[in-house]
Amino acid sequence: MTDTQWPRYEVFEQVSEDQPHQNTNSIHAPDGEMALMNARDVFVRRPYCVSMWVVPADKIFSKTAQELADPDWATNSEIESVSTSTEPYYVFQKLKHRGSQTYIGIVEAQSPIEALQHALAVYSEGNPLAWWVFPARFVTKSEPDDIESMFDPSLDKTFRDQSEYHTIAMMYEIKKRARQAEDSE
Amino acid sequence: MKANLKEALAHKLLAMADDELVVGHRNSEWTGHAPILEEDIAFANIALDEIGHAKIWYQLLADLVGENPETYPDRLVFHREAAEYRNIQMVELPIGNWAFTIVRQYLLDTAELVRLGELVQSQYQPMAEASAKIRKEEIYHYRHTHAWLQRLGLGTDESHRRMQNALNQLWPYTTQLFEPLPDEALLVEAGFVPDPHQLRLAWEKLVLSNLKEANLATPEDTTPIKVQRDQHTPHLESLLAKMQEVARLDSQATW
Amino acid sequence: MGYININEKVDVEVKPDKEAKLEEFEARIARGEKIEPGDWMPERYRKQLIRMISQHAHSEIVGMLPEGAWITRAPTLRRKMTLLAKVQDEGGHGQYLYHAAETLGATREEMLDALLTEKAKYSNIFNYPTLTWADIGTIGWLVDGAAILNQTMLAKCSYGPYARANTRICAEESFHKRQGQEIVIFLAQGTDEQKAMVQDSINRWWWPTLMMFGPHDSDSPNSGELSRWGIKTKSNDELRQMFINELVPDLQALGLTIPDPDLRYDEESGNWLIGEIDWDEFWQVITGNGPCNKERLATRRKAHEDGLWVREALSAYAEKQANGKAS
Repeated sequence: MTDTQWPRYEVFEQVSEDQPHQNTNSIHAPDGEMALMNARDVFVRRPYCVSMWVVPADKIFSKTAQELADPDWATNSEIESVSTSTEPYYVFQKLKHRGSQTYIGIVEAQSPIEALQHALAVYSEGNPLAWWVFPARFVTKSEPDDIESMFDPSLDKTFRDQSEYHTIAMMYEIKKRARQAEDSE
Repeated sequence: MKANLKEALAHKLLAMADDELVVGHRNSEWTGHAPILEEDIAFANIALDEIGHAKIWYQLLADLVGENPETYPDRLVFHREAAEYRNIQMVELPIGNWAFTIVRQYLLDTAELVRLGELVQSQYQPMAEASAKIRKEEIYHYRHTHAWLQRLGLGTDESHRRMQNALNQLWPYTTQLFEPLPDEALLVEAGFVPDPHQLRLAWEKLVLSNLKEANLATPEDTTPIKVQRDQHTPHLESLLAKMQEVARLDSQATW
Repeated sequence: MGYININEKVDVEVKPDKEAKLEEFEARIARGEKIEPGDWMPERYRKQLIRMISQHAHSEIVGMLPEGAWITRAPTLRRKMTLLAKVQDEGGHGQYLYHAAETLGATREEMLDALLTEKAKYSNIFNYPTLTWADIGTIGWLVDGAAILNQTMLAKCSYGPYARANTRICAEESFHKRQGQEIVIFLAQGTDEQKAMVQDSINRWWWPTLMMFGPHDSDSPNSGELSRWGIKTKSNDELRQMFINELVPDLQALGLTIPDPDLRYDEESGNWLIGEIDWDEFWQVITGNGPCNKERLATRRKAHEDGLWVREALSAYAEKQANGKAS
């Protein structure tokens, strides 16, 4: 067996319950459960999040608006196989050039191409610059019950805040005393 | 609180703190040496949590005996000799290979989970509160090490062999996990801590079921290591020599 | 695709496709736009960035070692925990940076292989040993301080993922610098032995830190292109001078001396001027003859090799699970 650094997983974080999940980064892991835990350890040092999803990078079907402008994009796309049954697909969009892929909703489809075609029909408002779709069954998610053990603890680790270190005040005092000592000479 | 009850509680808090401190110190030795970058980060997190837990118990002890919780923990950690430490022997053993570390961590995390599950109902309020806080992090530690136990136990022949070896080495040390302290009965009577025998039964049930799923077996002919917490292996002395090296340059200095 | 308005009589030279793309690319950067994954970019831009970013990532990872060695010896619980958190952050930063390089087409396996076989470089500063506890303070304040200046500049670079990685790194790194500064302040105000310890530390780290900013501008061949492509927006000497101006007054205020007999303040420019940098030492260290080069890589190699059975086991388990589900 050849050595690997394990497959890459894209990570999506939901900062608060009223915000959609956004793609923040990626990590390497051997499977979904490890990916979720690795993502938590690597990214939830700070800032905070309430929910985390991970999906293998190679399961994501992605297209840019530019690629979709080609009327033959569907026939020109390579995909693994079409399943015989319909399943839910997560749909993500990138609305701004500097923005990240943001969750918009779910569609039912038999293949990634079909999923994207449905998504284009339903979610085109805002003229997204790029799209990601992937089957829900490949996603590993944190549960609401997990918030307490996975995400809350990082809030207590205040020693990671620079405001805990009063170096500015300390240097000010030291320099002040030095000036006063000089003046009194 | 009666004097003898207070003394028993002080002994218990010190024991719990020392366990967390020593294993946290051991786990911190993996930083930069873990099998993959993500695990370097994950394990540093576990070590950080454990040292944090130790600090919480040391501070509770300080409050109990009327010492300053800001300075007492450091005094205990950096200026006690090995003979004064009250951790179990399992935590002071060197980190070994990854399998050894994972098995040790798994055995400790399960023991913690079982113990903290009961301690949240302690009649000693500060202990109940601290346990509730620590338990949140332990739940995650258990999730993490259980996942590793499973994957290394079932992964390849080689990983299985290493895990079984590690378990064979560590199992005799598990007796100490629930061995009551000399005055622990007082604490059980007062409802401060749960009955250690009951804890042990709950722990064994959990562990034996997890081990079976991971295709691992507890060794049959082992001599359990049944010693008191004031008995240590030579490993603790060399661990402390390193840990206290800088602090002992000048016990009056501020670092 | 070139579009010519046939109704307009203009003197337009039909350029080859690639040159037009390059012009548009440079115009985007000049306008302050970010280049994102999937956008067209010159091959040289992509390669330069992969080299820079992976080197940056390797530096963070190798940098975990000299400090990690002192976690076990940190003299208070607070120092122990903050140092652990700092080293953990550095691992995290390496992670963000490898990810940024991955968006350009590099793989983790390739990058790691390049590091372990000495084909890739990492920041020279980590080839120096940490000899005393004071070094932990010095590294935090000086070395991380220098890194922050560089990373603040890179947070504005033209490649989106790299800029964002640096923004995140800067936010986290500010606590690193402060905890280092705090350690140095405590030592400088402490016992005679502590003062001696920190002075010795400054003596050893001052010049290597200055060298972190790279050769003098006059000796840097790549700068023009890197500047035009929005990768390097401040010169080596500029950043180095900012660093010197910040540190010298603070170190002196603490009663510490800078190991430079030629150090002087220039009233006119408001700059602290330094003596000659010994570039021979720099080149010795960067080409592998530094005090710790071999040791650092040997440690990383060992960790990697020791971890092989672990990585294989987890891949095997994942495969078994996937096959189980497929049936």
